[in-house]
Amino acid sequence: LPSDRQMPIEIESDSADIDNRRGVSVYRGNVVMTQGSTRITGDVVTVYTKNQEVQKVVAEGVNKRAYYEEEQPDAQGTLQAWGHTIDYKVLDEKIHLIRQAQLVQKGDSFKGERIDYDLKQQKVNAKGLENKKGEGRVQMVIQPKSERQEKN
Amino acid sequence: MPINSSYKSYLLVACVLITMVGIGYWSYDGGLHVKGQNRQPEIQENADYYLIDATITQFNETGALEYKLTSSAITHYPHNDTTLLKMPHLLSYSNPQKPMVTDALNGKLLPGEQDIELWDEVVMIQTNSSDGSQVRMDTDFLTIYSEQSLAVTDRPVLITNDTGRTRAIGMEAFYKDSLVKLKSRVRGFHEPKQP
Repeated sequence: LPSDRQMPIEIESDSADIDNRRGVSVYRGNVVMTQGSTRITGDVVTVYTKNQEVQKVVAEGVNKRAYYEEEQPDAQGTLQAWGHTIDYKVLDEKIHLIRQAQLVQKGDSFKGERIDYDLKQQKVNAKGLENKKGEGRVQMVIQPKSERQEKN
Repeated sequence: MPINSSYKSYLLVACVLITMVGIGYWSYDGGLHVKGQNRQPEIQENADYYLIDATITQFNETGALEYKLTSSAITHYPHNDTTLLKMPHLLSYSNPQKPMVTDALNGKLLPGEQDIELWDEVVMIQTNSSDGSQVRMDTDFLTIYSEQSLAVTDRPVLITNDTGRTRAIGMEAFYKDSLVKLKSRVRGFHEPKQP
């Protein structure tokens, strides 16, 4: 939700390296980061800040994919996203899902090697793997409108 | 009888003296109580010197001020070359832009007087002189290795700055480089700056 950005950020992890001079904090081990309805999990989460304001968050999944979820405005349900790397540009309100990317939004599902999602405009841009046939291609499942309304 | 008159004069002088002593005693400020030096038991044992309300100022090889340590009681023990400190107050200038103030109820300068252990209500505050922002660290045991500008604890620690706080168990703080490594159970809470 847009109001999430004004909410406090809570973060839990097994260990952390906080470099106040460069504004880079690396959290390792069962990392859970929440801000309002936004929730990010991963094995390693790196938070980039400037003047103590969060600019970017990069979540990486080593054992399993990193995960991102956020409540959509106007009761449109929850946006869910997975990827081995999730690069979340807070100020631009964009998330980039890299490697085994997957995004589920309003019942529609997208899979691919890479997915770029614009949170403000709710736009999806998915890419497959150029040289692989079949597995690395983009896959989309779009729910028919009627079913979609039921789903919400 | 001549003796009688001299006896009278002695008596007179004695009375005057007693009166003067009496006046002197009563005019003495009764409120002024000089506390007996309550010597800490450990001071007497095998200490070779002790200082009360002392300040130690240390400069590095280039002559720059490295640290200033004040303490209500400093006691040195030659058998293990350690120095016990009561209420140590330590000002570290290894990073002149970010001086650091550390306080505790107790401390010990380790052999060589470069490293210091602090325990009981340890508070370390680093102030950024360029913007006045502060980072405060609370724990109950801390070792400071001044040559490496490193503060280490394996105890619970609370780090507070302008926008939030972080708890953890175990920490290594390279305070000259503003780098903090938190060892386990990290819980961070940060308030975004309001626009």
